[in-house]
Amino acid sequence: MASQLRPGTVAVSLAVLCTGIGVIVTTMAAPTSPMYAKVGPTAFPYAIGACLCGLGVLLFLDAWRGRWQAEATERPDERLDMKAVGLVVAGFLAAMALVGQAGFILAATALFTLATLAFGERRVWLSAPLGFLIALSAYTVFAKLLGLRMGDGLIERLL
Amino acid sequence: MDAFADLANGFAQALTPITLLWCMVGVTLGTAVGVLPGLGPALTIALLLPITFKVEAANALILFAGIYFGAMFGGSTTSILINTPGESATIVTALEGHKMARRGRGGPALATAAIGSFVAGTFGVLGITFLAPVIVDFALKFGPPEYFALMVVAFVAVSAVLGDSRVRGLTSLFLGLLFGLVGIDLQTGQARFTFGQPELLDGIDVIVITVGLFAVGETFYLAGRHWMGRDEIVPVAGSLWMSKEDWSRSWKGWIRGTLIGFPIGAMPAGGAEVPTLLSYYMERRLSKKPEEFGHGAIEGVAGPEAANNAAAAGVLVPMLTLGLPTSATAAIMLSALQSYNINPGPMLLKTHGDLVWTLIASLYVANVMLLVLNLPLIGLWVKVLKVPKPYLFAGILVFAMVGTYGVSRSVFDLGLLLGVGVLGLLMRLYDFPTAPVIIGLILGPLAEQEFRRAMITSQGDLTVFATRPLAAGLLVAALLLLVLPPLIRRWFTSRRTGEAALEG
Repeated sequence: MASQLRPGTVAVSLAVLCTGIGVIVTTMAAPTSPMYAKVGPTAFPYAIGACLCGLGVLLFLDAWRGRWQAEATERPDERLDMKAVGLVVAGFLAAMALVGQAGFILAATALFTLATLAFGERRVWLSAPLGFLIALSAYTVFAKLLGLRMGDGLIERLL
Repeated sequence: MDAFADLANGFAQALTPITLLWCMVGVTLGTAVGVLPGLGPALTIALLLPITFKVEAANALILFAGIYFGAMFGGSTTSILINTPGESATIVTALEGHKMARRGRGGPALATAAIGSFVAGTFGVLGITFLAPVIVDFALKFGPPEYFALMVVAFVAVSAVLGDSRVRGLTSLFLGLLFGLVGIDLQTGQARFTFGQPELLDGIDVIVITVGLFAVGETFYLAGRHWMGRDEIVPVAGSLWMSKEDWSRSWKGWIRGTLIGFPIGAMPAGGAEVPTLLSYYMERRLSKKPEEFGHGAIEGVAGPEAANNAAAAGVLVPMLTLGLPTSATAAIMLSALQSYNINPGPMLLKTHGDLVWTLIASLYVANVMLLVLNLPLIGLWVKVLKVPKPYLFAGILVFAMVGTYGVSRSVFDLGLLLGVGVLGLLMRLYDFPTAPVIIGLILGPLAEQEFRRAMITSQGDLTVFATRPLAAGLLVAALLLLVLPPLIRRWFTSRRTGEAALEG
């Protein structure tokens, strides 16, 4: 029934199918030693790729027949706030950019602040220092007490 | 009895101040994360995996086990007071428990849940004590084909039996298996699915997948849905003490729930959802006041809560004796063992017997601690719910960063975490279960290893799985698990519509 067809579920099922095909193609391209011709390092990848393809087809049938009950299909009108999701993504990208040079503490503070913004906390003067404190204590506990090597950074050098 | 002497040694170890302290930290942390909706024991343990670099194995495992048990306790509190079950196994508790709280009987509801959990937990740990050596003796006879078959049973059970859709459950499982393939193949040294990235040669870290799916994905989802967590908390009114009637209506439920929960949890096809539901229906059928069900019947809290905790203890049986995790939390505890280079499996009890028995003894201790700690401190746990959600989830992301970047110091891993988080969001929106991913990721490489071992000894002859009776039986069981549940469900619905027709 075309009226129940949700483009989202069809896209997800096709993505699963493509993953399965990708797994098989990648495995075929990998060089293998003939010594392990029978049950070598490619047996499981082939099996998993084949199963993913089969599941992708079954998912497609579910999507096609509109038998896929999930939040995305039950509440299609309520769209996800992509701005909020984007802010969390931005937090991660900022952390990835900062962590090498500025160090863990500042990177984690950026992640924290952007994530609180995503949740609607606009008082940055409150959330940023709080994030800094949390990152600082996390660093102290894990790097100083537990000996995790969390790298160098601007703040880390002062400790 | 050998087991008792070993257990006594375990207690001697478990009652040392340091061990008690780890246990205490575990149950406290566990209760806190159990109370908070959206946080579970699997995520908490994954975030704490970095401590395995520094803390010795026994203490780390005791901490994790404390978190596991504590989260069960905490989850019931949330179910009763705000009607948002922290995890699927406490959905049933919310059914009657929240109604009780609304009628001003929150105190007795919390009490029967706590005492029921204690009773079930204690019996469950006793069950582990007796059952573990027996299963180990049996399992020592297993060869690679049997192990592989057993893992197939576990795979099918966790992905196809629970949840709404077998197809989606299996898709999750195979995604997990695929993640497990990434990295250098141990037997041949060949790199698989690394796409030339040196960071991927060691495989994808369990922490990245777990934290990505459970913490980052959940944060995306809640931020996108503007979920600010303004849940209405029903204040705990009245006395915490249960009346004489409450006791007499509860204790049978505790016992029955334990008897249902432990065996089902201990099966390789375990899980806590099925026994809690079974217990609920059983209590409703056996209750002298069935009319109260749906309006806050205390039996409906006592039975399922006991079943839930007994199953949680039961899950540790296949984990400790066979190295077979049947829940996401157990899978992560298994990977903690691996990070100590301890091979889980039937040899565990022989090679690291002291560790296992200390862990079991600590579980007894954890149960007592939870009972003593939780009932009087219930007001404190309710306050945990008032942590502002923006700070809570942003804080979790900081710890997610510690667990990934702090371990590998690789920006690549942070990017991977982000990617897995997006995957987690999609899985949440399209209703794919996440636990099978974790189990596939951790158990998949072990299953492949057993399969290839079996193939080496049989010289590539696949019939070895059919000619060895136990392996064949297990594979048939796996097939039945895959095929039977929908048939049973159909039978039940047709019967129910038949009943409805008769009544109508």
